Amino acid sequence: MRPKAGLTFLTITIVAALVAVFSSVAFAQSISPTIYSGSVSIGGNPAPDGLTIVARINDYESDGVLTKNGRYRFLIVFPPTIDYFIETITFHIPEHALQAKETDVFRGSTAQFEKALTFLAVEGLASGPTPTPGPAATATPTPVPTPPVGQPSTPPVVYFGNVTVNGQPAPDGLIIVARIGDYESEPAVTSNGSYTRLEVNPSSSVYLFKGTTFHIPAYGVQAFETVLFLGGPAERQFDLTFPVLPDPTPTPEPTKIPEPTAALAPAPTVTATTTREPSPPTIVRPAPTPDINGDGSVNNRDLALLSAAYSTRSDDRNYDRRADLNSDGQVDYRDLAMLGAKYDQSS
Amino acid sequence: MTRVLNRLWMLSVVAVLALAAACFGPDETDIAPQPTIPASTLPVNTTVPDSPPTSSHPTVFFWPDEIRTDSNGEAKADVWVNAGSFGISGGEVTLDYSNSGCTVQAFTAGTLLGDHPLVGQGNIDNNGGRALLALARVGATQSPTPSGSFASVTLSCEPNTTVSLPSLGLSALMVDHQFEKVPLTGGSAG
Repeated sequence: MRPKAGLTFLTITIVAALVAVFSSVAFAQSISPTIYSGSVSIGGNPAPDGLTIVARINDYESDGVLTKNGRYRFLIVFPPTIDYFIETITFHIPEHALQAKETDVFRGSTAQFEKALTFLAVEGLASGPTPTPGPAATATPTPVPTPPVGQPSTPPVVYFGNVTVNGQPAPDGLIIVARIGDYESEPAVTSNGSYTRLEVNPSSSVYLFKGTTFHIPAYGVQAFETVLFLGGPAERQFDLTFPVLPDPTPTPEPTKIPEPTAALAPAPTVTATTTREPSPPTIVRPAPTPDINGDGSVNNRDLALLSAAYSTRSDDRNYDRRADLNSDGQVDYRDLAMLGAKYDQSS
Repeated sequence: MTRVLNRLWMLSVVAVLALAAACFGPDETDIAPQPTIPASTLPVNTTVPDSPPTSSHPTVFFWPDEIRTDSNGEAKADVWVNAGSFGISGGEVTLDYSNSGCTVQAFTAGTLLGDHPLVGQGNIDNNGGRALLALARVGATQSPTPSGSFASVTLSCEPNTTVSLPSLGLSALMVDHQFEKVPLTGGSAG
């Protein structure tokens, strides 16, 4: 009887030891998956159905999930070892070699995130509000190719809106053009602090899903706002904000379109060669002067002025152009850093 | 007697298996760089236990990413910046903790930007659940900047609970020594 009890005790001890060993192994190896779901947009529009989304951390790639109704669901990021801890997670559409703008850091702890993914538009991949119909279970994406270059132009998008220059309504007679890559629109002219009928009508669909920028060619300045060209027909209000013009009293008056009525007409009589004057490739910005109050020293008084204007944009009431040291139309951490670099703590 | 011998033989097999499992288990180097002590045994008001993991990319994250509050509900963590190859001359960090059940008691400069960085903005809005800290280095910036704590945050939450810091929305913007925006990853990098 005694040997039997001893054997039972020994068995229990060994089993307990085994449990302890295996549980410690499991604990040491514990990396938990991170699960992502969210919207997917391509070129600003919901992604079509059936695209495969994967996550990558260095050489690790997750299993793919398919987009459906502009979303992806349960993308499980679960790398095999802890070596991927705190490394960057990127998100991809492998079929089109696209990488999402968004990234994350793998923390190895169980978490579930809603994470919207945005991808740039690419030729050959449809990105529109109407998803390509198809069963979500099929892994083969069926992207609808965009029309090739040379197809008839898309219908125009006509912009109008307010124009602000250096925080003030734009003077009359400024010529504004829109550009998409090498395309430049016919001009529109400011009047009463606004512009009308700036028609963006590039000759090819190759300009679709690309950024539209707005310029005052006479001064070589560009508006802070940009917008993706999604084709028309459409009429959109789009307010424009320009920085300070390089020369406040330009000797040559900004070129005006001879007849305002012609400028407002759908087909301006001014030819492209006369209105599209060559503009400098870079925006002229005043040199940064961290001495905001101009007292000859960069000190706490300048810091106070910058702090008072912090987080404002050029169209805000509290915006202080003097504190916008890099003249990008907003007072932010970059201006603060420029101030700090020249800061004189002794004064 | 035969039964006893059979049991002894089985026990020997089990013992050999146990020994093998212990010997061929994972090496210590495979274990997470995080502290491996269970959260329940973490000292109260844990601060940064070791140097946080490094990364080749500029990253911003909470360190530690999980903290335990003390009996008063307070706990501290750092907003840590791995600068990668960049020089960091300033930055702005925002916490959005409206749904976290915590409030921010203090949000102060760390050591990343020197001993006395300029504070361009330091707001704590516990009603809105949002805190912002904008800092700049005084003087020249070394590039690359050694990794370090951009800011320290003191939280007030439920006493004696473990707080997962990623639940506090962290977003960050950093500027390099040439006053250009640094392409950050981690948190909600701007």
